[in-house]
Amino acid sequence: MTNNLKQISKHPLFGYVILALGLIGLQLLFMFTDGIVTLTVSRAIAMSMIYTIAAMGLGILMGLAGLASLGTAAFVGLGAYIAANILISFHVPFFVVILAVTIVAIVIGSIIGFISLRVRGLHLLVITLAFATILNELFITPNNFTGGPSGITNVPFPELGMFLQLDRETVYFLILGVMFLLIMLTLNIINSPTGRAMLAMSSSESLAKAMGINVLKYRVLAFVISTIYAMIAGVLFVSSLTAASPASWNFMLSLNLLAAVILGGSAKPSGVIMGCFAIFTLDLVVLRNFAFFVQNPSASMVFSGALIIIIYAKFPGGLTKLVQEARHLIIKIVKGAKHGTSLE
Amino acid sequence: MEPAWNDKHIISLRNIKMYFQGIKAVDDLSFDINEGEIFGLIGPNGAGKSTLFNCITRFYKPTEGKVYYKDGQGKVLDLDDYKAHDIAKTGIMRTFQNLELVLYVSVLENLLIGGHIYYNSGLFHQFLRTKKIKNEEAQNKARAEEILEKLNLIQYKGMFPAGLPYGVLKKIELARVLMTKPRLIILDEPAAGLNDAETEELAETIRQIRKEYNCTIFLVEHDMNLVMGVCDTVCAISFGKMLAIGTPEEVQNSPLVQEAYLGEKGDD
Repeated sequence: MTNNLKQISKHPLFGYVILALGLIGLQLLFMFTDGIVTLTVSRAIAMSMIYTIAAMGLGILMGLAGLASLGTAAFVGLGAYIAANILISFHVPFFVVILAVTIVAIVIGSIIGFISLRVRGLHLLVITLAFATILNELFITPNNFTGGPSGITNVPFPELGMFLQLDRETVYFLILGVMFLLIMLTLNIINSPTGRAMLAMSSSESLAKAMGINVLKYRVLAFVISTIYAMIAGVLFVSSLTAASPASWNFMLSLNLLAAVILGGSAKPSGVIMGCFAIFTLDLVVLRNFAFFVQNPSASMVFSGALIIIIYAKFPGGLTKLVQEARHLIIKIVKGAKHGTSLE
Repeated sequence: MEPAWNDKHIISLRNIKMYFQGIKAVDDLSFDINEGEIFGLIGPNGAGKSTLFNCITRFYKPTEGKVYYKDGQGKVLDLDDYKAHDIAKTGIMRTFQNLELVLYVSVLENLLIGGHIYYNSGLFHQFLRTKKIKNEEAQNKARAEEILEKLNLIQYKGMFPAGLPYGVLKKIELARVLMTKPRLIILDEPAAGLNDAETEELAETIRQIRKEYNCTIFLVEHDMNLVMGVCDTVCAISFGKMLAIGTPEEVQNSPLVQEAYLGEKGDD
């Protein structure tokens, strides 16, 4: 019995399943009790999960492929607008929206991948930033597709199948489900030859070439994957808030996503989740309860900035390393205690 | 113009020239390497050794000249038709002067990176982790463990390269090379940074690899002990031109070589 439990707890998805169950529990508490979990918390967690999806894509781009992007937010926006338009005009199941957005993401990701072929480091950041600026300009310019500065409102909630219509509360589970599927996908990518090829490429391009790894292919692939993740996050954003406005995907969001990945300290979903929840949930749930932060919204940026500096200066490995070290310490203490009693 | 191919050769360099804005790094070099031999290339700093390597492995495209190579099926390939990342598939594998191991994954995973060209599963199989990719992964892991076992590295399997002794890292790099099932291994200054004992061990490993994996080995080296101890044929170059070629003794006794290389070596 205990052996079985031990084996289950060693499964790579174990922690994620526990997390998912916890998140489901929170939402159930919100739906069926009065005030144990508030609307603010439920909303904040939903948003954090959406940002986690975008950040996981960025994590693959940065942590595996060694590339970087400051354009993530603009792709979240693009995904949101495409989804909003589809949901308003057609009655199609959710997976059709995802499919449509994925195809656009493949095209756009490939374009950026090819453009950035000979560009590294800071130059790459500037190129992705320029790309995002172009998109943002297009979002704000009055047109039928994005609704200009005021954006799109009254987007219907998506339907899962032919008759399963989601609403304000159940869309939370859709977000959670998609996040969980993408966590599994991310783990598969990290443990695949593709993930290792990206790692080799980020370590040394000469090495990668000598090993028979086509650097161009994996560069483009990394951009395509991260764009798909970002645009799916956009779809969920619009599905959950039923509105899309250009202010939601400004440069600040790109920076925050970048910060979340760095803070997490790993391309693994566990690291990205920790980073995202530290940056976004903390801000949306904890800080917003203080009058000071409500009156000065930008002060919360100062807070997350300070958090990054502290973690980065003290723990270069990010939250992942921090948690690992804490675990080692606990194991050591527990073992020490056991050892101590057995001696007596 | 196809050369008259001698079936004893595995690789043939014909009039290789590599000019960088007028600097003649490699100036009209031609030589052949026999299948199964350990071939050493020596020369003072800046002689064009690394440039020549890069020409063979297509990291550079030579200004002029051809490289012919006989693959596993006995077909003679003109390497002009290959890009750098296609070279591994032909059976030519190189190492680098500065160690190029991925430091933040385990030794085993480093070897799996070496096995990259032996994965045939498409992205679909990889992303959904189907049976097909699981089987391939198991095969490659088994092969990696076998190689680690043979090179006495199995105890490092799960460790990260960071922190391991330099001599061990060099051997891990060789193990990774073997993952590509190479026929011609090109070693760029393998003894650089090793002490005498480690160099001796490296020489032993090189001989072992040639014997057990039926490889031809082409090494560029500064360390004369290694070259003289391990090579069947040695070629000495200076300023991109050939000085001498032959057995280690012949090359060592060549007056040109003594002047250009050994003479300089004796000064320090």
